[in-house]
This record gives sequence, structure tokens and C-alpha cells, in this order.
Amino acid sequence: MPNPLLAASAGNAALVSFTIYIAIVFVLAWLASRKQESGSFMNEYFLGSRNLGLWAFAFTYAATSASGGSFMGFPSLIYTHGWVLALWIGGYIVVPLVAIGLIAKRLNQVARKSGSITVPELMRKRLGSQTVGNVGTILLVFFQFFFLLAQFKAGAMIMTTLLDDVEVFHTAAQAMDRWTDPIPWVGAAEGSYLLCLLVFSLSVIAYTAWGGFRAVVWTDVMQGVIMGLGVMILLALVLVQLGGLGNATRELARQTPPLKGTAILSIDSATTNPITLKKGTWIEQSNEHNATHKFYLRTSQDAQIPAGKNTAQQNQSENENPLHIPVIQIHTPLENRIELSSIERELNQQSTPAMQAQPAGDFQAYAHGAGQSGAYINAPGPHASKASGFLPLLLAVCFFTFWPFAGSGQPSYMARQMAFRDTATLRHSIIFVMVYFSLIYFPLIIIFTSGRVLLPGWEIASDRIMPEMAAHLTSTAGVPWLAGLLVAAPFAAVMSSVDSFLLLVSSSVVRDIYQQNINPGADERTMKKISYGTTIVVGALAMLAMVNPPEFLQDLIVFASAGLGASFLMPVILTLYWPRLTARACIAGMISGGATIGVLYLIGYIVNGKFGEYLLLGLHPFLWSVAISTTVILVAAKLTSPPKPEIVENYFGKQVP
Amino acid sequence: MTAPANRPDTGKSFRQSLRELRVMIIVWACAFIWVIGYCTFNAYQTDIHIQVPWCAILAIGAHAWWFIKVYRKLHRDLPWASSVGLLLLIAANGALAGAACDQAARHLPALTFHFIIPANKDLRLTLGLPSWTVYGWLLPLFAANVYTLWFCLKGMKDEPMEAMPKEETHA
Repeated sequence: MPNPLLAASAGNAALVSFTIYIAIVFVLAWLASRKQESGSFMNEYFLGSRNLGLWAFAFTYAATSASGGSFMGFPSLIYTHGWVLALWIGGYIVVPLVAIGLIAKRLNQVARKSGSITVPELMRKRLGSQTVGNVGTILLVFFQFFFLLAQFKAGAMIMTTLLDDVEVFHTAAQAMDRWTDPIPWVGAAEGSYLLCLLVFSLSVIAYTAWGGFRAVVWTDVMQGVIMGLGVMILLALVLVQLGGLGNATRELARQTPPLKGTAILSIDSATTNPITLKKGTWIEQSNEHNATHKFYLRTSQDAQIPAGKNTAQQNQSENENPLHIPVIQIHTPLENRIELSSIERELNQQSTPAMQAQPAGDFQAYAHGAGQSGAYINAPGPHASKASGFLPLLLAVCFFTFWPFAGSGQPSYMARQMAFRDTATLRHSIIFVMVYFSLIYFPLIIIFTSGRVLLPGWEIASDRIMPEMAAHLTSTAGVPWLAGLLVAAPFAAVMSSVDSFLLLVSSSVVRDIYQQNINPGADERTMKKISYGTTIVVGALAMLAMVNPPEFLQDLIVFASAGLGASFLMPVILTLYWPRLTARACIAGMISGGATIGVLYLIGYIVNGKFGEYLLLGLHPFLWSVAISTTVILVAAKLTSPPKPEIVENYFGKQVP
Repeated sequence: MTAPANRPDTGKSFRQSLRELRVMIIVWACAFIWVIGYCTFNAYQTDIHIQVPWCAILAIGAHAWWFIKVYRKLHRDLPWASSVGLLLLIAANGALAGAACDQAARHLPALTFHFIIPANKDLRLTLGLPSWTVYGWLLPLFAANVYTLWFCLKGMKDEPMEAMPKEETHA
């Protein structure tokens, strides 16, 4: 169970840091909106007048790519599966060069030459076809909106997690519950989640709509600095507290995955007052037959021992017997001194009386890695339900391809690549992003694999490991106020992604739908109103859609990311580099790429009975969709008449036949 | 007005970008061979079972052959949209047939070629880290970073940026 004092200090620090953080974001938005008055509105609002210098371009790229997943989902995966995550993100060693360098210079040149602000607009002008632009816009808005939805939920969830220990927050959440309870649909959501969703959404919509692209970029710079600082401080604290990395890795090598099951928990005699057993309560199990390990149980749900009883009951019982409390069982080798002292420390900090535990049935082992020492420091990594482990070799191959190339195919990154000032800025930015990613991703793996030793048993809620580590490390080091800065990193990561996606969707709607199809002669004043209005409406729609979010949202993120990469990667690369590409071939490529993802997800749904991808021959749908999209483009281009020579000459020069 | 020497040469700029694109793909391929190659033999604690469902590959291959045959005939007989629609249909059918054979191969071992790469049972630490992360991740990261640094400082060429059309600057 987390120490209440540590939790409270970290919670208050989170509240203070969040308030300061939001205030700075709004100051930046105000400054950005003042800057708008001096330039052309559309060019300024959606691309910052294509004048991004080194720091702005590098930080906005890095911060946008490091979404909430990097600071909440990724640490959770590292904690759960161990060092194999280094292989999972293996492709990141070439991401700065490949994902930025692959198309950035050419994309920027073509965007300038055609005067394009959005990716569909660039394709439309380069290929001389309105339909290309329309198909691109539809696909972009469709897939990107899923992405946006997921980030709104992630933002609200992170806030809920981080403010969980703040008293004012709980009071406000209860009030929200009372107000929204009678409202159909909205009332079904928890007050705490609704409150966070409202605050998060209003803040991000307001500063994005107000300040436009420049505000997004400036806040990205600040967010990038916070993320980088946060990781460096965490790494230093971890290494100091472990007394060297080797100690943690050796203990990790001896760890085995926990077992899951239920137990009957009791105390010696009936209690006069009810005793609350919070989720995460530790119980030491007697273990006379094993001289090499100590056994511990940790509850994974809240429970209570009612007055007059001596046995714990679940607060909200979903299974048949409320006396069967869900727990995990951890077998800790006696040699693991740091891990044992961490568990003993948490046991001593608990206010509950000594308890006995009786297993209620068999404990369930992991499908891969059960009882296997070394599982956390080697591939394929332990997995609770997959017998092949977390990362079988073919999947490692897929991810090595996925990260650099799917990154190149994301329109949100392309929008940034259309905005840098000159090629020197691009070259220096690649170097900067290379250093930044090297300093972020590998340290994150060190920090959260070490987390398994310093804070064992968080399999019960691994997505809380980032704030828990921040609170624990800073409090142990005697600097609890620092937790505020560390927990601001996930806020920053999610916000920097949300604002970029929001602006991307609204720019497509304004530029490619409204200005192209509805009102081509709109004056600047009208465009201004439409741009502000669209950003607000898109954000509000995303917020409303997330009031009752679906459970399979993480799968939707992967679906949207793969869909965007599949629809745009090859069509954009060939738009930029292949003079023979025709408009119809480009349309066929975009549709076939997106459709392949759709078909393989549909097959996945039919085969697995739930939303998720189908790994045909063990390969991720992204690889299939890129292969099919490329084939279809090449075939369709040959089936159609060559493009007009003047278009080719305009974009490829005279020397190209 | 832009000085003649600084005016962008569209053709030259395109060819330079294309050269740089090829370099980046080669860098990715080298990194892939190093990381995946090294980790295949050193990072995995359990035997790697590579299963190739030959029946699924056959189904996909047959559809690819069908695709090419139909493609060669279509552009003479059918309008463009119908041609592409029909080819997409064959591709989708290929995906479904491949998936069905892939599923069948999971239940019938005879439909699959099976290779085993033995596990690395020797768990070693280097610099306090699992050894495979040092040689299969950190070293290639270092090498990729050194190359990126050189490439960005010496390999990539600076070029004058294209001017924006008039409508853009006044929009």
C-alpha cells in the first residue's frame, strides 16, 4: 500500500505543478496569438509562417512523438515485461534519421512550391486532382479523430491518477457526481473522470484555438524540456538509491512473474471497528517448505473487515464469493535484498493488523515465463496470457520496421516537416532529436526495470508506476516537492500530442473541406472565425465522445496509427519522389492501404472475438498494408495515363523525363 | 529578389533528396541486420520456433499470380475504376484466403515448415546491463548516432528553399 504521507505530498505537488503548468501554457498561447496579427492568418495559424527554427522544430517534433504512451503506457509495459522493451523499441535507434530525414526536406520544398498548408492539399496540388485531396482529407480526419479521442481519454486518466490523493479534488469530484447523476449517459461516468476530462479538454482546446500552431509549438518546447528534465532526474535518483545498476539487474534476473488468484484474509479476533484494506495491501505468507524464497500476497482490489467480523470482504464483489479477495502472489528470493527491504518497508508502513491468508483455490501462473528466472532480463519477456511471450521474434521484426516508417507516415509529423525554416534547421534538428531520444528512451527502461526492485508488486496497477516511482524516489531522497515536476511530464506528453492532433484535424476541415469545396472565395476574417470555431468544435466533439470511453481504446490507438501510416506513407513518398505517379494511382494506394488495415482488423475481430489486429503469417497489418498499398499504386499508375509534363517539370525539374 | 546563385534548382534539389532517401534506407537496413540479427541469437532465453505456414504463402502467392494475370488483361477491356476495384477484390480475397490457411496451419502441423533457433542459456551482465542490450542495442545506437551526426553535418546538403506562390503570401 502506498505511504499516505508520500502520496499526499506527491498529490499536492501534482496539483501545484499542474496549476503552474496550465498558467504558463496560457501565457504562451497569449504571446502566440499576438504574433499572429503580424502575418498571413492561415499560413501563421496552421504552420507558424513556416519559420520554425532549430529549437522550435526539434522540440515540437520530439514532444509530439512522445505522447502520453511514452510516460504512462511505456513505463507500464517495461515494468510488466522487463528488458525486452529495449528490443521492442529497437527501431528507435534510427528513428531520428529515418522518420525525420526520409521525406522532410523534399516535403518542405514541395509544400512551399505548391503553397500547401496540409498534407491532402499538398497531394492535391502536386497531382492536380481535387479528388486526391478529398480522399486524403476523409482518411486523415477519420483515422486522426480516433487518435484524438484516445489522447483525450489518456489526458483525463492521467489527471485522475495523479490527483487521486488530493482532498480538494475528491470534494470537487463528488460535487460533479451529484450534478451529473440525473443526466442520461453523462451520469454513467465517474465524477472524478468527468471533472478531469472537462478541465483537461477545456484547457487544451482553449490554448490551441487561441494560439494556433505557434502556441502548440511553443508549449511543445516547454513540454519537451519538462519531459527531458523529468527523466534525467528520475534516472539519477534511481541509480543513487540502488547503489549502482548492476545490483538492480542481478535482482531482476532472479525475479519470477507473480501468480494471480484469490485468498481468504483474516485477523486473529473479530474487530470492533471496520478495518479498510486498500488495494495494494501486503500480507506475508508463511512458507515453511521453501528455504530460498519468501512468499508475499498483495491485494488487487479494495476490501474491508466489517465490525464484529475477522474476515475481509470485497467492497464491490463481482465474483460469487465476496470473501475471496483477488491477490497476486510474489516469490522473492532471499538474495534479493533490495526487493525484500522494499516489501518489508511497505509492510511496516501499513496500519492494518497482522493478517493470515488462506488461498481460495489454485493460483494462476503466467502463460510465458512462470517460475523462470531471467524472464525479466531476456526476450521474449513474460506474458500473463500469451504462451509465446511478450515479443516473439517476428513481432520484434515488425516493430523494428513499424517505428521508423510508421513515424514517417503520420500526417501530424508531416505538418511539422512542412514548417521548418531552412535545411540547416532540419540537419541540426535531426541531431538534436537523436540526442533527446537517446537520453529519454533508454533511461526510461533502466528506471522502470529498476522499479520492479524498488517498488515490487505493482502488477496490480502497473499504469500507476510512473507517479508512484516519482513520489517514492523524491520522498526517499528528501525532496518531495520535486515530485511535482516529475509528474508534470505525463501531462506535458499528452497535451503536446493532443494540441497537434487537434490542429491537424481542424486544418484539414478548414483548408481542405471548407475553403476548397464550400467557400473558395472566403476572406481572411471569415477564415479566422471558421478556424477558431472548427478547432473548438472538433475538440468539443472529442470531449463529448470520451464522456463514456470504450474499453478497447488502446487498440484504437494502434488501429488509428497503423491506418494513418498505411493510408499516407507510400502515397506521400511516391507523390514526392516518383514523377510517374498519377492521381488515380495515389487514390487507389490510399484507399487500399487504409482498407487493408480495416480488413485485417475485421478478420482479427472474427477470429479472436474482440477488437484487435490479425497477425497474418505473424506479421503486423501495417507491413501488409504498406506492401499492398505500394503494389496497388505501381499497378494503377501503369494502368492510367502519365501525368501532365508541366506538372512533372514544375516539381521534378526539366532533367527528369 | 533572390540572387541567381541562391535560387532553388528544383531538379537538382529533387535528385539530392532522392540520394539522401536511399542513404537513410540503407542505414535502416544495416541497423536492422545488426539489432535483429544479434538479438535473435543472443537475447532470447527460450528456443525460437519459426513456423512458416507454406499453405498460407501458397494461397497468397496464387492470388498474386492471379492479380498479375488479371491486371495484364484489364487495362484494355475495363474502365480504370472497375479495373482497380476488381484488383482490390482479388487482393482482399488473397488476404482472406491467406488468413484462413494460416488458421488451418495452426491446427495441422503438416501445413507448416518448422525451424528452431536454440536459446541463449548463458545470462551475462555487461556494465550492469543484460549483455544483449549492450551489444544488440547500445552499441548499434552509438554507431547510428555517430553516423547520423556525420551525415547531418557533412553528408546532407543545404539547399535554397523554394519560394511560396503569391496567393500563399497574401492569403
